[in-house]
Amino acid sequence: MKIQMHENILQANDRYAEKNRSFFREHGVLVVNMIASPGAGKTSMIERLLEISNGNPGIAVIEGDLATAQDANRILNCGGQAVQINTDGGCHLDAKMISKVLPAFEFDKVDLLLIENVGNLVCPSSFDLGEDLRIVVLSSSEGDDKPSKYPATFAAADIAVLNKTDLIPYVDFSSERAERDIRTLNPNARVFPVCCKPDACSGISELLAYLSEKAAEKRQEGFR
Amino acid sequence: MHEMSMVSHLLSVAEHELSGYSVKKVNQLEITVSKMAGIMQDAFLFAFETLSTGTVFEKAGLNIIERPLDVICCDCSAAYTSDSFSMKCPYCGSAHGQIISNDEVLLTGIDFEELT
Repeated sequence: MKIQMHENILQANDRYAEKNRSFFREHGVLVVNMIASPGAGKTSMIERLLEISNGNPGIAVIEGDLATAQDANRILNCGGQAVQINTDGGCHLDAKMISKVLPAFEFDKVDLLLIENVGNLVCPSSFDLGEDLRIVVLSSSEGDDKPSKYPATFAAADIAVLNKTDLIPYVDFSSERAERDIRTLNPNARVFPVCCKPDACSGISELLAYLSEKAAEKRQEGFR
Repeated sequence: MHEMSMVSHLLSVAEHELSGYSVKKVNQLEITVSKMAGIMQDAFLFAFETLSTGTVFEKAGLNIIERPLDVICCDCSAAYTSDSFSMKCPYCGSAHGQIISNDEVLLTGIDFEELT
């Protein structure tokens, strides 16, 4: 006997993602899922965003790592609200993990929730967390061939951040090639070149301005 | 890891689909994916073999149907499909296409035998 159906196998995850989405809508919080390789500079980027924003917009952070609370502590040291999730070997965050930590935040002070996913360019892209925007971070030292080698992640991103622009003269990286390959996969993606080194920081204000604009739109939606 | 997690979700959904039947043996599960799902077939099959052991799905086959990407051309607005991420509009030749396929992994069929 053969039966046919049309069932998404991640429906359990998607149910939690929808719940998270309603929660974020009610609280008028813009949620960003950040995906990148380990060491691409996600945490440094969040630190610079926190420093430049100086509480406007209010930023909270969920840090996903296999082990340790090092990243959450870095964010707390910058004055942000942060919760660490340890996946104990799991290669991605899922929507249920996110829903479990939401009570830890004071959302009346939050306009923008940044979720730093586990460092991995493959698995996290399959799991909807209830986010509004997806950012993929690519650092110059990883090589300009990564968009074409990990197409699904780049094709599904709303924003691509090209980080470590200060290293471009020393590594084999062509911004033109990386950007061209991203645009081929995803013509509507916004691309932000940035450098997150504290003494040579660049491009973060532009990224923050875009996220602030989107957060303001989301807040308005929440009040409607 | 990723495929293990996906297969464990697949087995729960399939088990739920079969909950109204008295199942003797499952012959095959059919899943349908697009390239956006990032599924590596060999890893998925290996995870299925591992996780199905000792369940009603042990020894069942897994048929993975890969759907081409659905794309809209950004220049001439034509809809077309592509078997790879190297997209080229067959109507105007433009390399600028927006992928509209989602990354869902769908359970689309179960072939099984009932207890008589």
